This record gives sequence, C-alpha cells and structure tokens, in this order.
Amino acid sequence: MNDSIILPEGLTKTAFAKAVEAFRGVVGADNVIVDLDRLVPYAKIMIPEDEKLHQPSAVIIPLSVEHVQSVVSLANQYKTPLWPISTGRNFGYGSAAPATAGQIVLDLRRMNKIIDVDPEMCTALVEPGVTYEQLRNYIEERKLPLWISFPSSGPIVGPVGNTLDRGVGYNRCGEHAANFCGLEVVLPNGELVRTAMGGVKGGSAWQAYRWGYGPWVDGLFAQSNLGIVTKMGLWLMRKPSASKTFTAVWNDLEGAAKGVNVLRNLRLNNVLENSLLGHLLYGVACDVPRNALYKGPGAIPDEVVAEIAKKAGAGIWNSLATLYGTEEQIAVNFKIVKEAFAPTGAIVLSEEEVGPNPVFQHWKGNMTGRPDLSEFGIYNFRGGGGSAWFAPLAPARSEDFKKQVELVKTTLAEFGFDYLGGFLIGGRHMEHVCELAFDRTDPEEMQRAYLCYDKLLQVNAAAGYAVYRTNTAFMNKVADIYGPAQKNLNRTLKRALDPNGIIAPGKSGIFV
Amino acid sequence: MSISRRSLLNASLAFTASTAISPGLSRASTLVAREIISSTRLFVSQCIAGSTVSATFVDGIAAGLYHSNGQLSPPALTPVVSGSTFGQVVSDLEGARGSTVFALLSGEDAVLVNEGLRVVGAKVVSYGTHNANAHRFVTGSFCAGVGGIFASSLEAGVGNCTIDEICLGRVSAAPPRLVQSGSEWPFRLGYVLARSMSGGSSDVPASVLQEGWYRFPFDTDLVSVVSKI
Repeated sequence: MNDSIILPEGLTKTAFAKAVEAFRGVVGADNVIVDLDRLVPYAKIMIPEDEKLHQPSAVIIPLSVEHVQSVVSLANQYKTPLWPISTGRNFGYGSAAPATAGQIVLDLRRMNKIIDVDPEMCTALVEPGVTYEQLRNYIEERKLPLWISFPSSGPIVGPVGNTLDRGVGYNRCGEHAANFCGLEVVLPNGELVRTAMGGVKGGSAWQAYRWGYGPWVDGLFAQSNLGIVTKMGLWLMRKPSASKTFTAVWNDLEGAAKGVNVLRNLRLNNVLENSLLGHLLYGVACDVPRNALYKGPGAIPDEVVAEIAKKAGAGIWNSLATLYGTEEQIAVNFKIVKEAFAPTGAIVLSEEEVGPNPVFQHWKGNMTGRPDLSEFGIYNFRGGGGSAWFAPLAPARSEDFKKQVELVKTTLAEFGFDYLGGFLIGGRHMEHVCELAFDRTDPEEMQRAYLCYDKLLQVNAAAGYAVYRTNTAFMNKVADIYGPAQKNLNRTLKRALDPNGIIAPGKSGIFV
Repeated sequence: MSISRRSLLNASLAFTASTAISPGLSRASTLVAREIISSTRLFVSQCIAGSTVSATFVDGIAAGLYHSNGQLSPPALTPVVSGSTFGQVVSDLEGARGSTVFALLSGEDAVLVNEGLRVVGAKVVSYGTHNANAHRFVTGSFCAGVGGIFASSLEAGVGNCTIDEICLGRVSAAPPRLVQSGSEWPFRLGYVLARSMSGGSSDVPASVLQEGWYRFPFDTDLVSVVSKI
C-alpha cells in the first residue's frame, strides 16, 4: 500500500490496512484496489474542484448481494465509509468519485445481471451494474416489443444509478423516478429489504405495484445515503405501432415562452408524452468546437448565435417531441399539435420537412429507443475537460421560462461562460438543464466556474428556484437551500438507520 | 446494436524498447525507472488522426523510446479503425493487455477511454489535459512528476504556458508552474511520456528538433493518457 494514500477520516493506517485485508477476504484481493495508479480513473472528475478533494482511499468491487452485505458489516466494524456507484458515470455531477476524500468507492459494476424482462407487463428487474446499452441489446436480441427510456449519456450509464439520481429520459417513461417499481436494498446494518410488494413471499406483483403496504419508503433511497440498492424494478414502454417525431421552432424568446404553455397543456392532455425545448447553441456545441464559432472575449454574444442560426438554417429555440400510437392516433394528435402551436408563431416541421439532420435524428433516437453518444461532443466544445450540470427546477409556465433563461444566461455571461441549455418539459414542471463548460487546465477558470455555479445557486434561490440534482462539490449548499427542516429530518433518518455514517457521507448534504 | 460515433484510431507501435538510458542525453530531470516497457500501443482519436498534432506526438513517443534504446527505429503509425462503440473501446483496451498504452484523445473520446480503463482495471500513470497555453496532469503513484519533467523539457521563448499536476500519492499538490513555451508541446509531451515510462533524462536532443513543423503553435484541446493494462 502506498504510504501517501488518503485514509478514511479518523482511521489510522494500521486500521485501514486491517480493513482492506478483511474486505479482500470477502471479495478477493483483485477486487479491492488501493494501487494509486488504478485509483486514477476513479478520481478523474469534471466538476470545478481538484481531484484530491474527492480522491477515494480504495475501491471495492463486489459480485453479489451477499458480498455487499458482508462489506457493509465490515465497514461498520472498521468505520470505513462506502461510496456506492452503479456504473459511476455521473459525468458533470461528480463521476465515480466520492463527495469527500478518503471514502471507499463501492463499485457495483460487476453486479450486472438482467434478472427479468416481462414483455407483457412491460417491466424489468436489473442489478446496479446493468447499462442501458446492455438492457437494449437484451431486448433487441429477443425481439421484444419494448423501448427503454435513457438519458443523453444513454448507452454507457445504467438505469439504477440514473433513476436513483432522478435522471430524465425522453419517451413515455422519461421521468425515471416515476417509472421504477420495487427495490432491493442493503441497509446500513447489513439487513436486506425488498420494498413494496417485494416483501410478500411467493408474490409476483413486485414490479407491478409501486406502493405495497404501509409507508412508501422507496423515496428514502433516491439521492440519499440510507442504503445500497442492489436490485431495481423498471417500467418499460411498449413499442408503439407507429411514432412521429417533429420539431417546433422559434427565433425569439417570447414565442418560445408561449410554446412552453402549449407544451405543458399538450402534456397535461396526454397528447404529448415527452417534450424538450433547447437553445440552438447546445446542439451546435455538441458538434463544433467553440473556437470555430467565436474567438472574442466573454460569452458568445447573442448576435453571433443569431448569425450561427442563420447560417445553419435553424431556430434559436427548438422544441422536439414524439407522438406515439397508431397511424390514425398520430394523425389526429399531430393536427392538434399544429393547431396548438400556431398562435405562438412556431414553425412546426415533421421529419420529412426537416430533411437529413443529425441533431433531429439524435433526439428522435432518444425518443424511440435508440441511444447514441453524440452529445458527448459537448466535451470538445470548450476543451479542458470541465463540465458541471446546473439544473434548476421550475413550474412549466411561460413566465418562469423567461425568468430562468434571464437568470441563468446573465449569470453565466457575468463569469464569461456560454449558455448551453434547454428545458425538459413535464406535465407541470420543467427541468432547466444547463452545461457549464470550462477549462480545467486553467486554475483561474476552474475557480471562476466554481464561483459561477455558486452564484447560479444563489440567484436562483433568491428567486425561489433550486436545482433538483447537483454535483458532489455543492451538495451541502443545495441542501441548505431546501431549508433546515428538511436537513434536520434527513439527519434524523440518517442517525436512525446509519449511526456509524457508513454509507456515502455527504451525499445530498446528509451527514450523521 | 449499432451506435455510430466518431471513432478512435488504434495503432500498434510494433517494436519494443528497454529502460536503457541513452548516453547522449544529459542535464535536467532524471526519471525514476518504471517497469520495463515490453510492448506499446497507441490510441489516437479519429478527429486528429493524421494531423500535425498527432503526428508530432507519435514522433515524440518514438523518439523517446528510441533514445531509451538506440537500436530501435521510429515506428510508423498504422491506423486501425476501431472504437465505434464503448464496447469496442473496452475491447481495444482489453486487446492491449500487457502493454503500455499511450493515447492522444479528444475530450469526447477521453471520457470513454477513462471509463474503459476503469472497466479493464488498468493502471493510469498519467492523465493529462492539454492546450497551447496550459497542461494539467493527474498522476497516481508517479510523483516524480510528469508535469515538472514536462515543464523542464519545454523550450524557452515562445510565450507563456502553465503546467499543473495533481498527484494522488502526494499529500499536497505542487503549485502550477509557468514556463516560457507554448509550442512543440505534442512532440515534447510524447517524448517525456515515453521517457517517463522507460526511465532516463527528459531532455529533448536538439538533433530531433530540426524539423520546422515541430515548432508550429498547436491550439487544439486534447487529452493524453499513459496506462499499463
């Protein structure tokens, strides 16, 4: 073991070495990593902080639920904190690295069994290491009439981690936190619990009914540190007989703001089952390096963005959605959509009218079960490997849309960063998802990115908005925004279930 | 399942090198010899394959390895298209098991390769992020300091350039270092990384810098990775 390894807080090197030996006795020597060179890929982060602040002391890679139980039991004995990851690809939110240095990453990627997919019930039961690509391949190989919902990082991330962090996808089941059903959880004392109908011996409704009996506790294990989820039930979308992806385009903020109300109403009326509204620059940034667009000081000015839009023949604000159903249903619904958008001044275009367009095809793929990695092109835009997603939550109203754009864009520009954002519009809410791209090779810029994110939190909080998810550098600050009562409740739960503070200290700002 | 994306090029440097230190080199940093390099593999992102920046990086690696063992000739880059899916990236890395891997990647590909290295359980000796003005290295046990050695290797007089290094194995990080050079970084980076892996001085002999195009001021943002799989 390297003499310079960062130890878990409060542990001596001798005690840590004993713990490592004990963990090796459970999962095998090869599956407990303390070699610093092998820890580097776990420490590589994109958020605006140094790697050393999030450097793990070790990594444990269990293969089974029994391994996880034994590891948790030993962690209590040796007081070693565990930071569970499923695939660890929470890019721009902290990747695989823990909230604080010295924690042991519990890498669940070897637990990657697809236990069941039921094409009649449109359900699945998976382990944490399963990726969306793996699940889609499973479905494709068996020619099952199912579509999965996945985030933009689709192929390589997994449904368990994404759902627990309240990730969002783009089809009928796009609100992932609303489309899981039944968990298996290793509690901080090592006990195993199956939630909802999973507690009924011999039952078969575990993935059919979310609520079970008594208090619904599943939410306690999302964005939390009260247990380690080792199985999750998923609801999948039945593949429709037809689908139609379209875009609605505006060149002005006012028009797009009216479009937000239309999108909300179409969703509330179940005409639309998904919708997003993105700013042009985000799509461009996934394909073109920044220095090919603009070399001047500060954020890319609106005039330059307008010029880019003109050259590309694209709108500044672009909504995309997909209608599902039979051809007849789609024809009726598309007519409703066009009539609804007409008063907003939108240009509504079908796939045929858009023509061959990689951005349209990417989003169509996201909405019809075909993941790709084209949005990773965003990491070539600014260069320097810095990425932090800022995602405030707002009601799906025109006025909130305008306020959000103004708040976020102005604050980003104040710090010299570009607005690379868009809105995922649900029935009543919208997630305003913005990429803060910065250069990690420049210490001044990294510090500026940190201060910018901090100010984004502050100005949003002052206006009554907060993020629904954040990175490991800001979890405590975001918990403060949600108020002392929620923080105290979370701490009370933590102390009751995990008195030794073994599971993921600092996750969502929750400590013992 | 077919997921289209820009690909990586995977090229094999078909030669071996030893840890011998070339007697012609002097001064500056003497590196701690690491494990003997028995075989090397090179990964270059499709979007920079054939560009001056990747060609000079490859030349730098070749020169570094050559000066570790004078009997070796600089290798030719033999591109093999691969990596159209993450699965293929992992497969390529699995295929490099037992080798020292040098990679020069776009930011996009670097994310995937880092994940792939985690999956195959590779040792990452150095993970560098680069542009003409700045270089930032993350290293594990190699606290002799790739960043410091790289800084020493850069030639003076062509503008400012910041070099920073975060070493997981060091209690406190060294402050960023400012050197007077922005040019030639791909060649010198390749040279230093190759020499770092084989041990020896990082001074770049003047004889290998005769070509004028090494002095072209590159402004591409890239990531370098050195790994033992």
